Amino acid sequence: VTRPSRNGGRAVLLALSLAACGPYGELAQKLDVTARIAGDTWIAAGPNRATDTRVLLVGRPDPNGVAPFAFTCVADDCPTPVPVKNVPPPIGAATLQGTWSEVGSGGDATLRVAYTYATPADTGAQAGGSQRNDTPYALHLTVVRTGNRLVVSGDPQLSGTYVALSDALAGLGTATARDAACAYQVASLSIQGSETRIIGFGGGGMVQYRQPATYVGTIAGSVTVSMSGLTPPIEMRIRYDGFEDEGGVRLDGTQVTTTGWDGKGSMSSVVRFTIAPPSLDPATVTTPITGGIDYSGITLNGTASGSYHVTIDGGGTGDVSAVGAPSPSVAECLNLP
Amino acid sequence: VIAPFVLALALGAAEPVTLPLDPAAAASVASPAEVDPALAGSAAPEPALATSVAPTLPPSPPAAGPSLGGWRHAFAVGAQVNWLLSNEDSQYQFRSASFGYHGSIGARGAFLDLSYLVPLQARQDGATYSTADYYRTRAGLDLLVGFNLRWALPRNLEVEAGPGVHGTFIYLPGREGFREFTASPLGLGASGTCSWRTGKRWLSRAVTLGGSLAAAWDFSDPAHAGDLAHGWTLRLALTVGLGGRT
Repeated sequence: VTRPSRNGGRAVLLALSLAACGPYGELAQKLDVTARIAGDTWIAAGPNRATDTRVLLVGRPDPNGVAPFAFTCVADDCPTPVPVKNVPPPIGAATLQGTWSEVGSGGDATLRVAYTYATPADTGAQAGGSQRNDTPYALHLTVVRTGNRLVVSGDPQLSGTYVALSDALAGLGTATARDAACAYQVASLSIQGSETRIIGFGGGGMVQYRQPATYVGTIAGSVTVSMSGLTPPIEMRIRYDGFEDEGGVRLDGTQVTTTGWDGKGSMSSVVRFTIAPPSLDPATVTTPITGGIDYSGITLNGTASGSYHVTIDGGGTGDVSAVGAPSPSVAECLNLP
Repeated sequence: VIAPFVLALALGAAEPVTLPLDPAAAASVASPAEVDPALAGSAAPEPALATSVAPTLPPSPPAAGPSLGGWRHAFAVGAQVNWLLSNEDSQYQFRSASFGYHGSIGARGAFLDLSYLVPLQARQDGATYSTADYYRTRAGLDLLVGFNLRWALPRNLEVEAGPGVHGTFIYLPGREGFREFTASPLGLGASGTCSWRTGKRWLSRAVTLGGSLAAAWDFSDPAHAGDLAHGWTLRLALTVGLGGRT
């Protein structure tokens, strides 16, 4: 069992061992239940600004005032409102999906959660990996809009001062190694959000992807998971095709993880990112930030080591360590309140 | 289910048991002179040919039956239920058709029950699913190996029973877009069979019909992170087999 740091976790989560299949799964469970959302993405720092990030996507309301929403927490521990089987705390990432409705002008909002996802911070072949609880429930929040901010209170997991992601992304630079690291941290949020929805991710249940499966992006695109080889080298491929879980951050390319039965191995290939903040005002549209995350510097030996090599096209390059807390943090990169 | 009935009908249509046709066996049949010395000399000795002697013999009395020793083989068709309780308090139940082989050796000896399972229906926490709707392949294996004893009962019945170690493997790879499910509980169990010699024979062995019952308590599933709190297996089957040599 591995308790990776958040940075390294994404690599370690992919390590598998065919010697174990993880805990029993849910019967007759559909893998992908995500409904597409066209709306606004908001982002906030959690209580621990160095590691906690919250992303809220709220769609356009229907005539009844009901809008689809998706919420993702990435942190050292993201406790979910309801327990998710086979995901013991600490929870490294969690996602809620459902509908959002506001009554009156006082900011009273009711979230009807249809799906609760969780990824354990502890991973490995004996772990269950990412799981989903399909039990519906409701959360009540108070939402106050102040300028370009959304102040959410009423639930400790979702509370925070959110800013529009498009505004936050507009402050990203492209020239320095720090800019490259920030681009990685922003892209990594989308990658981690996608991994939370991949059933079995980070656990022995990944062996089910001998038959590939595709999950849609919440906003656009898709991610396809496939595994080949029952004898070493075992190759796990996670391919992003125009994948967009957060407005303005798109992923393309494939993460390749090659391991033996003991889970030891390496990663390879490149995932490209396009950071293009959407804007209704053409005058404020900025040039997209494009680049790639090269995984070939990551080795898996019980835990991840090495670094992600990040390149911004026509700009800075940098290496982000797979070990330790994100540096710089997402809150620092995006100047989150 | 149909297969054993078809086989039973075929066996019913088979030739009844006749005396041995080989000369060596026929030579061992007592001649009339040996049976009654008064008959000696009243007739020239006839060649001891089974073909000429057999029709003159009275119907054989009910056979004393084969010994309890030797091999027993049987094919079984039946139903199996596996219950699993996970450490997360999920209750699973799998109802399967089973097609199996039962073999044993000796009046006191080893036995093996090996069944191929076709899970037809599955339940989790009160919800029931037709496996065909969610899984592209439905397969499983059940193995019970142990030591059993044999007893002969009246009316050509023979009973075997004994304890053993047990394992089941259930394999349900999902249809496109659905999640896979596997389970491999291990435990201890027992098997019992009751077979009736039909009076027919095949390959010099008595043909038997019968039934079998196997039960097991499963308490370990190391391939699934020890998620099994405990489980039960129950299988009931009809058997068609070969008993002892006659």
